[in-house]
Amino acid sequence: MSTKMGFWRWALAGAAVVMISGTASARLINDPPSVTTNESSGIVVYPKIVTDPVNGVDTIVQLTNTSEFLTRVHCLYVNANSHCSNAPSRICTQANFRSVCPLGGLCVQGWQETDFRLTLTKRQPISWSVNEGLPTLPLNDIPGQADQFNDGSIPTAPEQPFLGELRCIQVDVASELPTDRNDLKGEATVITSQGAFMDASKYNAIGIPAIEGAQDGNPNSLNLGGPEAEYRGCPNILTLNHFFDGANVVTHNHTVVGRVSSDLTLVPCAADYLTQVPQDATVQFLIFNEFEQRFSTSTKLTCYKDTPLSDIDTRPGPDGDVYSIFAVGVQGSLTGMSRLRAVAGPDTDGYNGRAILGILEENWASGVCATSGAGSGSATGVGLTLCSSDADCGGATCSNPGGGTSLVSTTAANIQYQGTREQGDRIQISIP
Amino acid sequence: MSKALGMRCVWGLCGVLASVLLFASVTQAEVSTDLSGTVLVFPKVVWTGTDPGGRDTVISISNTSNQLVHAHCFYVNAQRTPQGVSLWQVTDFSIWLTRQQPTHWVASQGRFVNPFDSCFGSIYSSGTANGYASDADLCDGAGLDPGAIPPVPPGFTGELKCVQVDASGIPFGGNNLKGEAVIRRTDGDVSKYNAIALLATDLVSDDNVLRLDNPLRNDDEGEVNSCPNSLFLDHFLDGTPDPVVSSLNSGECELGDCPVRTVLTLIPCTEDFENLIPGRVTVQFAITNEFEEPFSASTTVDCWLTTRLADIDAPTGACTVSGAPCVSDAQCINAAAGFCAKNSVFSLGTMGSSTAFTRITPAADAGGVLGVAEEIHYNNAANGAWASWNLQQEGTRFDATLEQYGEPTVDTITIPQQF
Repeated sequence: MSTKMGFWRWALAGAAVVMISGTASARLINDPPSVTTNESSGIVVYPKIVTDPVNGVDTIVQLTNTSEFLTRVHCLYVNANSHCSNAPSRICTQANFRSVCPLGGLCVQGWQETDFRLTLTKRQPISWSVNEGLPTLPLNDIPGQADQFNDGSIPTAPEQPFLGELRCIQVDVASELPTDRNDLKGEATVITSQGAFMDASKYNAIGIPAIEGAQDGNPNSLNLGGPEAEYRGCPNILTLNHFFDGANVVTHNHTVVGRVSSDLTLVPCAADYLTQVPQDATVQFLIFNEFEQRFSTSTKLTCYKDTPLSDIDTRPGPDGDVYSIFAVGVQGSLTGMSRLRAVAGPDTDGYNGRAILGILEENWASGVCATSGAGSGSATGVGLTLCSSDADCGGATCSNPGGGTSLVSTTAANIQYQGTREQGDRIQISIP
Repeated sequence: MSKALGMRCVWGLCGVLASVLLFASVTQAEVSTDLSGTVLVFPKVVWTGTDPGGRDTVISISNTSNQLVHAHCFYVNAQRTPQGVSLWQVTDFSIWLTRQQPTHWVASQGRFVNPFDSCFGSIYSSGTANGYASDADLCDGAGLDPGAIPPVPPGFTGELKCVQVDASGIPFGGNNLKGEAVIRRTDGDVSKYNAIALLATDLVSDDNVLRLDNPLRNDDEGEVNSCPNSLFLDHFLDGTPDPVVSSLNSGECELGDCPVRTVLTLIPCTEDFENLIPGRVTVQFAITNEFEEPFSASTTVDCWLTTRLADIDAPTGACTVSGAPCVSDAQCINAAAGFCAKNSVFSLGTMGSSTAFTRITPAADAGGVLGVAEEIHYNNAANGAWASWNLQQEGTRFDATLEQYGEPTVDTITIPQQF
């Protein structure tokens, strides 16, 4: 007895020493691989595609076949514009529908799919403007090195302005059925050109790699993870480093200061393009500030969500944003780390994971107050105060020195993740 | 020592070993910008001054675990001297992050330990007191200070590398670090990328050398995941008129003079901070345009390389408006002479399509490289917007060199020994 007790006592003591001595520990399990922005894949997801030609905004999509083989691709735009319930031609948001929609109207989330198919030759990259599409692919009429032609064309965005996502699925060249190859990679660049003002942000498409030899006999249904996985599963937890909204960031050796806020775009991993049923999820947030203090909130995601962080726990629009747990004034530090967990549904067939994918876009002040300029000094004592609204200028006007209406510069970042989940997700597609 | 005490020590060590093995395990056998890792690499950190166009970098790092994490970080200043030689000066410091703690600092300012930093003012310091320029400065340091982080010198261009260590300073394969870098220009333009994470296995040895020799997914045969064999870069061809400016705001793209440039930053995977020996790798570029036409080029990464793509094979060009010879856009822009167009295999004029796909592979049995790309989108007025993104990858150097030469090339990161 004493020997066994001694073993456990000393073994546990040894373990405790490791825990207390400050070495780290996080990965209790060997995480199975999940989605990736580092490798080419069988499915690529571009969570945020925007066009607004009137305001000089468009997205350039890049898609590349990284293999030496002719590759066929089935792509699907999802138009996630919301429209007024009593004026279906008017595009609205939850923040502006009271002024945009006729009295009594509500803003109804949209989810409309437009698909197209194309072929890519050996290692061929293509790019297109979402606003303009690509009626003719580069090798439509002349063959490439291996006498291969492009086939297909890319339509323009189905509505202007447009907000939504794009998914491209690699399919077999002959049968057009989903295949287990992983040859696609992609990027999206959102560019704004207003007057002399320029802005650009870029992110990698999120790849969902196919598992070799795992395609089942049902080509309509693509299993992402789960018990009959054909593709890798979606992430269990998204880990997101971000500035808290309104963070006043000082740079350039204390000479430049300006606020930053963030927009989060989330899409469900699952999609039902076959019966056009939008997917939903409940997303739980754990937020840690630089004091290691923990906060939490949650939100509903119905088919698509593009929201300022502060609107996750306050009403849509700027009202009340300063009371959000994503506001710098509430958190008391400039940066935080949020962990996002989508709540899985009841496990009936192993495919109700309700996992999510997303990207983060930061909006950094780039306007100039009428009273400040480089080296002129300002109320903050810092050389140049950049503004994103008149409120940042203490009563003066904030304007874009380039003449545009935008007062922010944007940058996008792919979100990191931890682990996968037991339940999988399904993408249902139509087969020609 | 009595036998009983000896046995207790043995069981105690067993507990320690079991805990380490339980808590440290590898996930995937490539470097990653999606996962947390043991070594964080920020390939591009710049602080180029307060003049218009000057850029500064905001670093964010988080501990993704529920335990205290220690990390040893190294700034590598690769700024070029007037003689064109890279400085390769190393400044290192330590940080500590409590469970799930995020932290940040600005390269030009560092972050000093001050428990009175606050976003809400302080009875101890306010306004311009205590050397702070503003309340925004005070708020900038709010939070649990991760340790004293030095500012980088003006003109700094280089990389930041952070290695997770245990309390005694020995590398520890916990895979608990994630990070991002935002590069901000004086006018507010920003670009952001994820730090590259090297994931470790539970075989990390207790010396000061990290061997990047873990070959295959989930095999856990080596210490740290090997660097990629090839990096994939989708990019606009140099000089391509920005498609959005030319179609939606064509007045800002007269004569098609609103080019997109791609700037590539590469660093060798092997670095020796103990003996101050920088890595050197020659890389081959295989370029395919939209017409599936192949081209190639090569260059050498000596310690740290950041280059406009067209500069790789075309050092000189001509200003688009004046036709004067030039080596960089800045020369032409400052002379109101347009932009510096070059005849390169990365240029629109040579390739004939808007975009290309480039594979970057180290030559022969050289070690691997890591990198990040940035684009700058200009309009006619030479206002440019930066956007950065992470490169994608294929294979590992360990596997590729083993297959090709029968002997794997193993990159190593050597940190200074404790003394």
